[in-house]
Amino acid sequence: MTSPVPASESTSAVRAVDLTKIYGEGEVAVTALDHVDVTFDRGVFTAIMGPSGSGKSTLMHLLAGLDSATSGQVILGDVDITTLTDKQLTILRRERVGFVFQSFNLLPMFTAEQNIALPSELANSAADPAWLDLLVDTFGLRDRLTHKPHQLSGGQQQRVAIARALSTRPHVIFADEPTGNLDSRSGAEVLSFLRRSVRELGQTIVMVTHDPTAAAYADRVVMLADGRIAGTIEDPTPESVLAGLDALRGLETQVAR
Amino acid sequence: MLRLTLAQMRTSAGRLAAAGIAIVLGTAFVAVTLLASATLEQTTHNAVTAQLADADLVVNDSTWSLDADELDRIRRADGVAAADPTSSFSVEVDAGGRTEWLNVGAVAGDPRLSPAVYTQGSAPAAPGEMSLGVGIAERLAVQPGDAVEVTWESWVPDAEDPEDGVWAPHAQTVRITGLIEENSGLAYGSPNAYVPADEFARWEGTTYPDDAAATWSSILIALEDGADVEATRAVIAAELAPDSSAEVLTVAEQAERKTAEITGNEVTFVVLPLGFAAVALAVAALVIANTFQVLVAQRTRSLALLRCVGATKEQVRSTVLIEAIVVGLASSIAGLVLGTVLMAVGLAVLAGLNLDVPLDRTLHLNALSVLAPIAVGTVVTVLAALVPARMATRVAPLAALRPVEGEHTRGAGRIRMAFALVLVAGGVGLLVLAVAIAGGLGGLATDGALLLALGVGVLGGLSAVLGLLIGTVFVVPALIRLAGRVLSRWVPGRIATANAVRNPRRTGATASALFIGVALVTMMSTGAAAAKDSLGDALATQYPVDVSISVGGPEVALDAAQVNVVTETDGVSASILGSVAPVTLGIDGSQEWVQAQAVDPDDLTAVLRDPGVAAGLADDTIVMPRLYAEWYDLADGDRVSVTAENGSEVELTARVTELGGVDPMVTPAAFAALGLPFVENTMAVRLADDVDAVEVIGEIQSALTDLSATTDAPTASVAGAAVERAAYTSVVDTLLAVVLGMLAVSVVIALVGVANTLSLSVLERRRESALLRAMGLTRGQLRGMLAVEGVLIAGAGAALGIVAGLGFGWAGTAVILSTVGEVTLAVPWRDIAMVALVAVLAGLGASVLPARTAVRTPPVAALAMD
Repeated sequence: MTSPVPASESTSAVRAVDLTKIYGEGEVAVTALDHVDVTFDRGVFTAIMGPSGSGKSTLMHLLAGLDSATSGQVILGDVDITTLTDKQLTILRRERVGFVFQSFNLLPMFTAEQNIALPSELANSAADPAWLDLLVDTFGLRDRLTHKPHQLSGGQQQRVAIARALSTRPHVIFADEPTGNLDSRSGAEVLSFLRRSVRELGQTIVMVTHDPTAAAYADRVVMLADGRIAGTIEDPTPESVLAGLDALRGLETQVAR
Repeated sequence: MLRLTLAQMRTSAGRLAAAGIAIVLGTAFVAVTLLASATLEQTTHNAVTAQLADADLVVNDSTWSLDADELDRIRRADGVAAADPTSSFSVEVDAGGRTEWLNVGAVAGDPRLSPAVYTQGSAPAAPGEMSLGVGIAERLAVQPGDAVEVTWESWVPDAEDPEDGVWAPHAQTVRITGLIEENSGLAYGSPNAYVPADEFARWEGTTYPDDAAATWSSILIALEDGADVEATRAVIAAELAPDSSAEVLTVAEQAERKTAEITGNEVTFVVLPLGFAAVALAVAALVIANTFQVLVAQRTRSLALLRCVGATKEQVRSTVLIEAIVVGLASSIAGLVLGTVLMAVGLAVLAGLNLDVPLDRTLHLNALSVLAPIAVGTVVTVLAALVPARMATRVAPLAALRPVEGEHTRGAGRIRMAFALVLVAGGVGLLVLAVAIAGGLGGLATDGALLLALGVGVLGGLSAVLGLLIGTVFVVPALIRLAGRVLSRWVPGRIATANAVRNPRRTGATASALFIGVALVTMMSTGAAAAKDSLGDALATQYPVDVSISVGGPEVALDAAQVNVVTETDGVSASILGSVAPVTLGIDGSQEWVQAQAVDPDDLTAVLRDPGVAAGLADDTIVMPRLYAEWYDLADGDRVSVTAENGSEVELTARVTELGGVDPMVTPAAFAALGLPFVENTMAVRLADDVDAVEVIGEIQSALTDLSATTDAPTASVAGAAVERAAYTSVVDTLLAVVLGMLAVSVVIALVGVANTLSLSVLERRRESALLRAMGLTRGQLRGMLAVEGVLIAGAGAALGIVAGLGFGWAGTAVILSTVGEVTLAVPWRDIAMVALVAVLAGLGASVLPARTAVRTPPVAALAMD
């Protein structure tokens, strides 16, 4: 069992350098990200927050290599992923990145177990059975392995999705509003599982959310507004996050004037 | 509702267009068939009217009893300008060694009654003159002014014994005065040469025994200017003999009647293609039904939303049906246009070929040929959409509020399974019963039993097909799972398998369209292969030797150079030399003169197509052809005395075989015993299997002719049974090619269906594909996944079709050929391999476009979609 964090590497799991993303051209061009520099450290649970249209989802997509940047760099581990071809990116994603989306995380025709094993199989590498066992137990999925997605509750589905994201022991896991579709109890459960993944399993998680309560589960919150980094909050509480958001709104209001 | 439907259609225009292709192809098929039949009819009509010249009325008598008295009375009737009987008979024309058979007729008394169109020269006017067809003149190498020898024969009964008589020859030299346009090949039996009427009567007279006068079956009549057609018609009818069965018709009526007579026999040319068009349309209906079902399934949410805001079930149903009508109409019109264009191109191509039937080149776009394809195409589309429309009405308003995720398709029920099983089992049982009935005939077919077997077989086949169609929902996914096992180690393959079976109804319906086409193609190929094998066996027996070469006279032997030339010709695989000599056979006291052939039995096998014909050939036996043996009641094992011309005699045991002809076969030892020298005056040649028999025989012929011309080698004659065998085989091949070509349309339509279903599924699964891509599925793997899915669906349909087609083909051949004798159940491996290959390639091809869309969609875009 190798450690997920080789000592030789830097403490940054993924890093954006002068990252810009512009959608459209000419008059209709929208700047989603405006020269963003930000670093996400290893073994840390970071939340990206910001109002709608602040560019938080765009930032995540670029960091994960799901979308291409207009300019700037994304360094994942020690690789500049903005220079990679689609094929290299795809392979990087399956080997070093995990995803948890808001909804539709699982392939409906496969069981929970098959869904969890899928990324390793795609990479043609056998998943470490001990690691998978650990994941299954950690997320309380032992009784649900043979169920298909439509036989699982929303919270269970997200737990399967997290287990799947962790199955290849990726460099970093990106979670896009993972609790957006869940009731508050299931949401809290999923968030605590995410935090356990960081604390107990040593994973790195970057989560996009607009819910201050969810952000409070993170170790650190990065605030985004108008495509720029608007500040960070270390060891957030719901109150401090809410205060940060309010400050942002004040900022926006000022900008609007 | 209409506006809404149209808006909805716009969003899925691409899907509908693809489904429309199926209907376009089907209606184009119907349109071409109808147009072609109209062309055939018009071409026939033209040929018929050409023979009626500019006549006004026709007197017709099917009993051939119009006589000279009636003709006279008609000619004298009020209003009649001219009347001529139509009559002709066959003569042989010889122009310096080139000969040709002609149908000679009399020059009409009035130009209006003359169907002949002169291209050169003029009509014969005096005895000893003749005009003939321009093509015939070319073949005879004669021109106006040249003289040719005309010969014909007449039957002269013996005065004492009316059963007996002789053929009396007649001959006359005539000068050619003019050339006429050749008749259409459809105007069968019409004159293609003319002599003056008096001369014709004299020639014709010689062909009647004693004083029996000529009678006719029809008289052409031209009216005087201003004469009333109907009035004259009544006058003529009154002039006919009171008990006459003749009718007076206008030319238009006659042409119509004659055309119907001729094309009526060719009803197969219309009915058969329409049958195949029906199959194509049935397949198209499956494709349409499937497409609409998928569309309805994909629109579940918007349909539910419609219900939420107050749309009634009827309104929801009508959106689907209106859509079907629009798609059906548009595609049917497109199909009609396509069919018309194809027909126009076909006519242009055919017109370029030199056919002996002057083709009517106009496109006969009438109400029937325009409206029928459109109506059929639209009705089929709407009928196919009925089930999807009902599906749409079942969408509950609440479905709009439910998440689309967690789809779980209802599996097919047990009742359906039981129904399918009963139908298939019953069908197979009936097929077996049919074969048993036919087999019980033991070659002694009574028509009734054969018909019964056929009826039972057809019923069994239909039942089995129906059962399989109902059962595709079970069988196809099962087949795909089975095939998927091979791919289970490859993740994209495993996902593809899972995807292919996740909606069994859809996959089953898609595959069943292909199943029908493939089953029919396989069935036809199997039947043709068996028929060809059986025919091949029969031909091998009938023509056991490919080429035989002989020289005249028992004393003359083939020259060594001649033998060399033949054996060295490319395409000759084996040859033996034999000796033929006249002998007399003594059977039951009677003496029969025959040409006996002596050949070495060991060498013979190398050249015989069917060694069975020489079975039992030994030094003390004589092989007798079955035909000859039957004439003389000769049984296998009977003793036959053989006497040579020198008087020596031996007794041999008869061995009756299927040898063709009447001449027996012995060994060289028998010749020696008879004191006959073994003069090598005949040669049997076997050709290699893959050569063009006509070409090789031509080469042998010309090589031998060259030898005879330059050396003192004797003149050898060449007879090639291989040519006839090749001709028979090519007839079967051509028929099969035509049938397969027509069935191919169904297969193409089914493949359109596979592509369409696949791309609809891909659309449906955009988010899944995006998820997979996000998780690390490469573009190549995604393409591969879709390709595998396409191949699995197409392959399952094809596999099922091949198995069913083989079964039907075998059962069909076993029943139909049971009367012919032993049936060999052949597997048309080449055709099956081709069908399978086409299915696999089509499955791959069907995945190309959907895969492009899927691969191009960035994962982010697809994930962002709701």
